[in-house]
Amino acid sequence: MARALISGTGLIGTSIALGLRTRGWETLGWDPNPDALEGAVRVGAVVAIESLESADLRAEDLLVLAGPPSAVRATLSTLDTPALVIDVASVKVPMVAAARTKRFVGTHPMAGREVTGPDSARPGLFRGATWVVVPEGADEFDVRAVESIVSDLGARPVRMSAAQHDAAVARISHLPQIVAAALLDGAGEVDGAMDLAAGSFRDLTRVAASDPSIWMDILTANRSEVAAAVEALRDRLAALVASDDDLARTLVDARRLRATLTPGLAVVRVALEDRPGEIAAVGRALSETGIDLRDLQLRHAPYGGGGILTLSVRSGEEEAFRQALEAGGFSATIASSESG
Amino acid sequence: MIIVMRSDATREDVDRVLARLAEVDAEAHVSEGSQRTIIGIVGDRTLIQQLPWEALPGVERAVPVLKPFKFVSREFQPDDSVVHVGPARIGGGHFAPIAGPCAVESREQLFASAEAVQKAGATILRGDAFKPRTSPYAFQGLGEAGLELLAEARAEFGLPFVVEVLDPRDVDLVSSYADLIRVGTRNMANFSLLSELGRQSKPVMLKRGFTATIEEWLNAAEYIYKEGNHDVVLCERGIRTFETATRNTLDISAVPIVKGLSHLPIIIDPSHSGGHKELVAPLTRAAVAVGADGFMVDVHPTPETALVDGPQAILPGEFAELMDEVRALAAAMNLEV
Repeated sequence: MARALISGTGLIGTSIALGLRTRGWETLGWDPNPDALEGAVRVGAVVAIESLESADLRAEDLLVLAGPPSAVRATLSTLDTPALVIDVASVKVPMVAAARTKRFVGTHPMAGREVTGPDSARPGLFRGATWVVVPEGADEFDVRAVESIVSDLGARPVRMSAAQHDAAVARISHLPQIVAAALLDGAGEVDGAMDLAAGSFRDLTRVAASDPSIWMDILTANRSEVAAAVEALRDRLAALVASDDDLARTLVDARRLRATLTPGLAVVRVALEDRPGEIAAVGRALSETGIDLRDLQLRHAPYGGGGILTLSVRSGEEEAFRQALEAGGFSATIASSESG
Repeated sequence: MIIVMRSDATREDVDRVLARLAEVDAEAHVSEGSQRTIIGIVGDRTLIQQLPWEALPGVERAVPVLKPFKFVSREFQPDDSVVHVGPARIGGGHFAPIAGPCAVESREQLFASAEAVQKAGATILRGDAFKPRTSPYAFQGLGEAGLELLAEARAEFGLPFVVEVLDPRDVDLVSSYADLIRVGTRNMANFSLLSELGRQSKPVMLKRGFTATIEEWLNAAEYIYKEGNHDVVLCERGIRTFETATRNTLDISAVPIVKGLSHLPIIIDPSHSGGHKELVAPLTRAAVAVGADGFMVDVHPTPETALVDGPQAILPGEFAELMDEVRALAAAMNLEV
């Protein structure tokens, strides 16, 4: 049986452990924080071990480093094991540079939740998600092995160099984090501004609700790319307010680019009868498929009972969900995707 | 006997059953399926059957198994097994194209073949280092030197490899190199070899004996499984019949029959069954359509100079064309290649 050791049993590490377990892997876990380790054991994700060193890893084992970037880098700078090692940190250049162990493949799943910790973990967290795999310095055999594991977890592996990855996430993930913090900071300059903030301000600053200590770790690990992205944004903002023509053109371009973002959510509509057990039956279809429900809304039919239940699921999961509902005797349709 | 747990049975319920089994010295094998847990039991049948299993919390029913093979049966595990061979997957919706030269003859020959099959989309490399030959004076394979070349090809092209083992004394050696170990048709009933393979950790491909029934074949798989190695792939390679137009008759109906009886993946070998390269492509297409989990073909850069089985090897270009057809058929069958 394949065996994996998950070092760092937070949301991502525990979700990986749960996903591997459903595919027959034996999963061991370790975390410097006893609460996180106990949590991962409690949700049935791992069997706890004493320390990373006590694992006695073999060549056929997989070691997943799922701690924060600074901890992963520290581990990689001393680790030497015959096992295949991956990390899942959101910065890749420092990890590839630090790794001493022979069989290291850097990776980064582009998935997460607004909540943290092992109790929020779920085996389907990565379904339909993109998962970056960095082939630098690794054997083709090991890279392929990692890609297969990523596919087993339901994600889509994408090969990318460490430098390209770090430059990309600086712009699509790290910069928005700083901008959200700066927007909130700026709103405080005018008395009463926060009281007026409505949907658009909430949308733009949603990510500022994440754990600041994790983000400090990520932003400093990717310091040079983040600095370059901030500088480019500052120049762009200055240019936009200097010229109405540029501003108008950028607003038009931005609207077109926004429409090209991959739809985050797909919408499935189910017709419900007005009778006991209908909602429970929908719930059963959800639990059988293991699909993560992102949102739901019930509209009543104008006359008589019943109505239309609108369920949002991750893009890519809608067809499996529709089939499960049809198998449960419901009439379900996939509506057009909405961007999220 | 098999104990089927209820779908809402807890870990404690399972542990309680295992504790009772330990009291009567029965050997228990737990299979955690997607729907429910199943416990297979080997031990004193009369003693086990006397116990009131269905009275224990979490137990749905206790089923006596009449088939001689237990652990490889569908009753024991309703879900398809997925065998991991390094990065490759076989079974449960994963279709594995396995290709390469029949025997490893030289570095150039192996690497030319490995590069071609990897580019075309094979997920496992084949190439043998030990050859069972009808004549003791024919080429017997390169032995450990061949295994070393295969390991080099694995590092170069990223493909895991399958190799045949002939002698129980070679199991440790082959296991230290190979990603998948094959038992040939002549060795299917070599029970000491099968048990030895059951005690090591690499997955095993078990070819059907050319005179074996499906039941005998599954019993052979049971020998490996019972020793603790659950990663077994079956390979249908043709049986001896009165037909002389082919070397052996590929028993294509064995695929759905085995799938009904067992959870193990099953692939077909269109090269050694037909014995002619013209049969390779049509039989491979049939393999996908009949529901097999993969196929294994001989691909040789220069079949006319092959030391073993040249007439049945296809050229790298022919393999690439075949892979295009396989991908189209696999998509229709909802399989991942």
